[in-house]
Amino acid sequence: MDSERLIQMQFKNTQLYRCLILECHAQYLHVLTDQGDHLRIRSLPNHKVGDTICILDEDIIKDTAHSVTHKPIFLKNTIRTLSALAAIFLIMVLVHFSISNIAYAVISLDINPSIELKLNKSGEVIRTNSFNPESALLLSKTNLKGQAYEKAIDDILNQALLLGYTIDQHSVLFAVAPVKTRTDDMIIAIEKNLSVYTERLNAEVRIGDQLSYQNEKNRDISLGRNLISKEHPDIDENDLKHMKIGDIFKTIEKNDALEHEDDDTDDTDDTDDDTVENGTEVEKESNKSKVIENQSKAIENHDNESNESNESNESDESNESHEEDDEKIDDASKDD
Amino acid sequence: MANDLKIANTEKMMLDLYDARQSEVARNDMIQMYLPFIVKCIKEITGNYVRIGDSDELSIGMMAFNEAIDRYDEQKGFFLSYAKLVISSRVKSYTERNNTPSVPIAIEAIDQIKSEQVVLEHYTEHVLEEEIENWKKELIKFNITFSDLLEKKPKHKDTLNKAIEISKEISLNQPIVTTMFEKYRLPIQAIHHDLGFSVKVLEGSRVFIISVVIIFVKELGAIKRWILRD
Repeated sequence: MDSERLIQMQFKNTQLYRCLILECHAQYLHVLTDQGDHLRIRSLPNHKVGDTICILDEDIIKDTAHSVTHKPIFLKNTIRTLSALAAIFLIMVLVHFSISNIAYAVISLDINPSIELKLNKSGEVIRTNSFNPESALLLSKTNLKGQAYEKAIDDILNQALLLGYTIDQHSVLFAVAPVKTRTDDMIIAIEKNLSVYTERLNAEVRIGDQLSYQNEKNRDISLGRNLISKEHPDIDENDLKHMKIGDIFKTIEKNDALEHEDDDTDDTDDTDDDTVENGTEVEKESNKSKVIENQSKAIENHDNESNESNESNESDESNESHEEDDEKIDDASKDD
Repeated sequence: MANDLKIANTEKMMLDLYDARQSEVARNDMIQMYLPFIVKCIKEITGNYVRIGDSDELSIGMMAFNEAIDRYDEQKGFFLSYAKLVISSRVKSYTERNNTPSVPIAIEAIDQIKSEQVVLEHYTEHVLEEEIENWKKELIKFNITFSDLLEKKPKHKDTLNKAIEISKEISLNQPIVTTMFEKYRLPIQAIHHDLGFSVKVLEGSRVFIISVVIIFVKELGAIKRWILRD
């Protein structure tokens, strides 16, 4: 009963095809059905091109089945395992690469060449920036990527020496700033390491914050020069951008000296006033003329010595001292 | 449940058998329905696919099945097992008859065989073979092989029928056919423009369409009749 039913079921669902043999291969026959379809069927002997035959579904070689059955199972499993391992390895490499390529801190180094090094979490240089043609030239002669920042700084300084730059006596400015939060330890460690250059080369070190780095990013100026610009707003930013670090510090020193000199001049004026009040009328007249002469000389000297950058400030101050002098002269004439 | 199904199937078979014995139409229907069974039986016996044109195997198998319908009774076991026995017996007899050495023809009789008849029989026998060879040569001019036809055939029956219809229309358009056989490529844009078929369909069935257009244009009559089921 079972075999009867099986045969019945089998043949009621089986389709019959009328085919024309187009090609005979050892593994298969290529046939054209009377529906116009091209099929691959199992090869049987005693058939030739041009024969018209009847075939059943079971004779057709399905394309997918054909390709799959030729692959041993263990090979498929091996390929799957290897593919999975390769994918995991690739993901790990990508994750590692993306982590090691994130900037955590930035160090800028200014001589006249202005160079910026971006560091990853391990303190390795991941990117370099040049802010002027001199720094581009210097960077072209070095390969800093992937190096520890200490080694990279040494390389830059050596190369600067070879290119003829002076790197001692206030000629080098280092600046450090975090790019990401929670990098305090890293910044402290870098600052500590940079102190070596302060001792050896008299280099200046400035520490910035995340905001100062953001500002520097938008202003096309190195971090160090940006921090100096903030500290000394009296220095013209355009000059600051192009000046050598040695010259910047000389200007700063000169400005500081001038400020001290101004303070001294104010003290001298006070002493002269006391003398005028306590003297005789004749003495008063002679003192008045002396005061006027001294003050005018002081103003002239002051004007000559001051540079262009603080010219406006100086002129304001001198105007104020002029006004004070005029008031004193008026008071003296009233006394007369 | 399974037992009920078996009983139902057997009852259905007995009913079919009863109808077939009563009516000629029902008999033909039953033979058509069990044609795959007949083909499989013949294939198992001969070890080859069942030839349609130059062999009587299929006819003998069908006649044997017809005979089984008439001669079957329940005492002979299951119907299909019995039918298989009958088919096997008849096909074997036919094969043995064909394998026996033919009777030698007397020299006098050779004169009676007309040479034209021999040529015609030979031509009919080999016409498909020759047309397939010509078709293959024409396809190579378009840089297409028979393997390409297997790989790049339309996947669905509707697409296939549509591609045959498109090929028919293309073969009737002389300018397109001229361009096609001058440049040995399917002028898809021209066909799209002149006949309005979608570029996507033409691109998808390009190889198949070229192959069918060659059949129509190069008058490969036997293959043409084959795919048009004439």
